[in-house]
Amino acid sequence: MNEEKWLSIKAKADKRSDGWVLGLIGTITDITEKYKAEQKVKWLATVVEKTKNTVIISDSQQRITWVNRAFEELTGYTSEEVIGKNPGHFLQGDQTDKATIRDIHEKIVSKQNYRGTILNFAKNGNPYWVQMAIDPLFDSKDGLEGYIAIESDVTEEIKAKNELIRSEALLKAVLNSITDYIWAIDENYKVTFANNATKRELKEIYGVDIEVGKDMRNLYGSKDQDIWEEFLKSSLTNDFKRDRIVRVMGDRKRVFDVYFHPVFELNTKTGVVLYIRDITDEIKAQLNLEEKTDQLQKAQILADLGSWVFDGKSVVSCSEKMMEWLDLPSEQISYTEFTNAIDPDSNTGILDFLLNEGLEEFTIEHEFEAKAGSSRILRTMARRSQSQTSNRFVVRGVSLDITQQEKVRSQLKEHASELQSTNAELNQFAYAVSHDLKSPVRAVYNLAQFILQDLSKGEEHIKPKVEMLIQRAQFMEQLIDGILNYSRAGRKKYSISSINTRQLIRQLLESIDLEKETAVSIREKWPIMEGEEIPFIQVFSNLLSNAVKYGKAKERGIVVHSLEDRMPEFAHFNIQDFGDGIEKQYQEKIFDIFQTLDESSNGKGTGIGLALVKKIIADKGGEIWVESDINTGSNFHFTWPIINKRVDYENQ
Amino acid sequence: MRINKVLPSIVLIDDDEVDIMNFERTMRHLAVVNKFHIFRNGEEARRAILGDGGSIKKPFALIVDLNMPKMGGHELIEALSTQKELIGIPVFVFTTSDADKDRQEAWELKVNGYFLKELSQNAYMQTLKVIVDFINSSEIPQ
Repeated sequence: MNEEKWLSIKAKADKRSDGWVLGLIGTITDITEKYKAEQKVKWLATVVEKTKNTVIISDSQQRITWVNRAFEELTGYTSEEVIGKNPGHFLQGDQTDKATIRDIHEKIVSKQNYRGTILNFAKNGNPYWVQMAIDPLFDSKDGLEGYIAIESDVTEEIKAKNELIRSEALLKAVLNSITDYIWAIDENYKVTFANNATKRELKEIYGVDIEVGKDMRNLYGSKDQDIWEEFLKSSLTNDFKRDRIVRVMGDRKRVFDVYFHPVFELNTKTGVVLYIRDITDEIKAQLNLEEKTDQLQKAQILADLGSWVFDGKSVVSCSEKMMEWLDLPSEQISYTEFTNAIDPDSNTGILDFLLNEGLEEFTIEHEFEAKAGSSRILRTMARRSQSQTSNRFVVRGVSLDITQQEKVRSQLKEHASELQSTNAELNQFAYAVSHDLKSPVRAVYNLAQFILQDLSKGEEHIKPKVEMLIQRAQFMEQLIDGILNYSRAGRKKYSISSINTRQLIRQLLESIDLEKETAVSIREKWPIMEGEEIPFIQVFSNLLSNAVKYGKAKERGIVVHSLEDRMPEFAHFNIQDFGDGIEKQYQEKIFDIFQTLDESSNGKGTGIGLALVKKIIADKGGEIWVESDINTGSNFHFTWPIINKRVDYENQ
Repeated sequence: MRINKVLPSIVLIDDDEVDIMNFERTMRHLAVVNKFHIFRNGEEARRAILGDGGSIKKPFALIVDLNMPKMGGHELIEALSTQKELIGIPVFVFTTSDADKDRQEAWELKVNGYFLKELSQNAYMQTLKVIVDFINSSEIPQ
């Protein structure tokens, strides 16, 4: 045997009188059992002292006789402070459950065990939860010696549990307050959760009460049974996360967005949570909006109206018309692209308006060239307002294509001013006609009277008066013809033909009754041009006759030039005579009707020719003017439009 | 009639040969003794009245037609009205024009009378007589 034994040895020395030791006398006792028991108590004491659980030992009167260190640490009381006190008197507080306190008390009085949890308070007032075990201690004769209470701090666990309960309640409240349908089933189609909306809806449509644990497959009315079975099955078997389904439920066609959230336990699918949102109304509203937007777009197209919105930050959204007008690549563009398109010359201030929050309204009419060759006039009105979806400002604008309108307006203006000048001309014309037509009539009347009175005076008195009378009558005829020509001039459009100008001048000169010695020279290059020949001949023949009539043709002749005008679409001619010339102050007046520089009645001009020429030239878009000096003669210039801008200068 | 009173000469400015003829014949018929000068346009008359070697001597009165080539009647009256030495010279418009604008313009130039050349010989004569009588009854600056 190899057993270890603990021995207690007691011995006494047997000595002689002189102190000499004769031997030892003693006993050896086997104390192994006793040693082991003592050792065990020592260990237990260490455990009790070191454990994190608090240990309280009290006497039969519940007065504390001992506490371990853990107690001191948890409560903050020292053992000196608590020994002799009843633990219930200082550890429990107002918030401690009264029933629990009563229960503990009953158990202790009847010398029974107590197991339970209780809210205690530390010395500094901090609450803590303990789970405790109270046991009575008995002596060897079964008399009550005291109590031992072992407590463990469960504050964190209690807190966590309360938190869990609270958040679960909160979650339920949230889920129940949502009008969307949220429910869950396990792999056997048993309901594991259903929010109030789901319960209400199913009750309303199918008249069934849905409860946790019921089989979802059996909940529906027979009408939709098949559909729902299939739906439930696919929700459990498939992995898709989202679906949009259209169902006729009850009597209504409804659209739902369904979100599936599979539930896994240890990598095994054990069920599914379904979140179902009824979007029937949303879809309807969206369709409605799309229809309205479409209608608006169509109306805008019909009304030639474009609209745009600037989001106040970066983007401008344009309507179809706007995109067309501005030649935009897409409906959403940056505001700089937008202002570059609508205001390429940056002179309308629209960019400033978009960015300056102080400005509320803006109206501008401007012409711009969006695409090559498509000039437009837009009237743009914009207004800044608070956005409904953010705290920014948005700018909404409409643009109106007023190109046509402006064209009509300017035409109208032009016509009005034409009419005005025509009226003025007509008044002047009437005035001039009244005077200038009256005067030969008066002359004829007077001459006839003179002749009558002078009948007795003989032929030499009468003849010159008769001659004058004839001349006045002829002059009146010329006047009337001239007035008729003048009133007709410019109104008619003649056919366009090729005009060989040099050849034409030659023919005209032949037809004019030139005095024998009149020398005519034709200089420079002459165009062969397209134009209205008849009015061109009227102008040239009038000017040539004038030159012959007023110029001292006999002496120095006349010179006809063709020049290249500074404007390429015009031909430029001049007819020069070397007559008396015209004083500066009359050089414009001579083109007015009935204006002559000679006293009336000397048989020269009616004052219509140059007015007629000017009227024709002005009507064709050309100009006429005279350069003249007294005694050196007059040089009449005029320009004539060349149709099709074709001109060949022929050097002949 | 005062003895020694110098009769003003009458200056007619008219471009129409037949009208001038009519004027001369009527003056003769009325036995007007005033001297008279005739010019065919305003420019000539202006030169004769204002020019250095001007042939017209005070006292005189003007009878002016309106519609004339180059310088018209209104223009002539305006040109003369700015001349200090011509203050007090009576000016009569004698014209065929009964246009409002002509009358208006003439009276604005402060003419002494605006008369129409009547077509009938009798009426014409009466009008001219009134003008000549006015001239001869007025005290015109010497």
